[in-house]
Amino acid sequence: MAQIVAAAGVPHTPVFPALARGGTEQGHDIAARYRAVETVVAGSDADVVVILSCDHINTFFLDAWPTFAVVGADRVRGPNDEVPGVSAVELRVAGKLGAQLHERLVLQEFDPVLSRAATVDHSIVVPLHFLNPHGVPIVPVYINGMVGPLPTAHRCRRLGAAVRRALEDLPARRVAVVASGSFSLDVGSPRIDPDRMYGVPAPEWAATAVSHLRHGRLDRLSQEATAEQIAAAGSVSGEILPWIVMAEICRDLSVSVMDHREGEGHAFAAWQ
Amino acid sequence: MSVHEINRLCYRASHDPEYLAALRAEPGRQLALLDLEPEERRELLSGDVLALYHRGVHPVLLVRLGTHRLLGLTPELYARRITADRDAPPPS
Repeated sequence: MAQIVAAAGVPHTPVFPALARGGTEQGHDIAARYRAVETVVAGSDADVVVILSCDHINTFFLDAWPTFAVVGADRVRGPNDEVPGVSAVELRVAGKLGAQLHERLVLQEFDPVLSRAATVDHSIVVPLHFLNPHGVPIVPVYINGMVGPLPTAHRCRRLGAAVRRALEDLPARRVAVVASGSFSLDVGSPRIDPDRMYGVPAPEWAATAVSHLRHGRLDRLSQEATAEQIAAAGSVSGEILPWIVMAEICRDLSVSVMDHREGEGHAFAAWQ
Repeated sequence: MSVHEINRLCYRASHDPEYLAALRAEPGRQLALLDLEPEERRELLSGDVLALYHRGVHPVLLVRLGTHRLLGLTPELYARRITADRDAPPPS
């Protein structure tokens, strides 16, 4: 039986790796915030990292857009989009475990796409850049947080429970679970800031989501994370859905890091 | 289906370097190859990203016209044009 030994959630802003290396005060701050989470993930001695994310229409295209997908390849290449200062490399995937997870989800009446060959974008690469420096094998799991209709938050909780049961049913592994994304973030729509290509339209919603996560209020979080609330929080704010899946998977763990600052649309968090 | 073609154009521009170069060099010729309405073609050639957003082009794809400096756009110009209607509702 596999064991969930740690969980985490972080943003995946593409400039963060370059910023963290840049030697500025802001860069040191970003690096320290990721390091606090990495300490928990690395300290768990996990031998596989399940990373939950939303593809930003890079891995998949709208010709055939999955609500859920699991990668069961032996490796993936990424980033397939621009992450300043981070070159595309091969990332090791626990492909057999990914395929087993897919099978057990289907048996529980979830029907994710099984991807046998994939590239991955910044939403996978940036969190792993900071949290998985030693290249522990990963299993990418995608949740549609980009293209309506999104899966409901309640369904994402049920997916989290199904993933947890599936992992517990698999041979002994030490599993860390990482959610990637923000709670309020807009890219490309009229709600970006006028002087840059993104914005945080609903920081108060991000603070509410953080509070619910901090106190384990998953019922309230999933009740309040409606399609309307997510749409109002920005064009990529469906990235809260991987966090909800992660929170349900690790519901028996205790929060050890919850780093959110007023006005931000994201958080750096860990459970163990 | 035309909006899907525009979404595809944005996707290809960010994942196919040859297509990106062709779109930069000969935007009119490349757009002529697509099954677009005349008004959609005009909006693309003039970089009218707000009109394209209102048509339903996905913002995560549309923004790539600005980041890749296509169709006369720059990141700054994209941001200025798309925020001209801050009260536009999110796409359903």
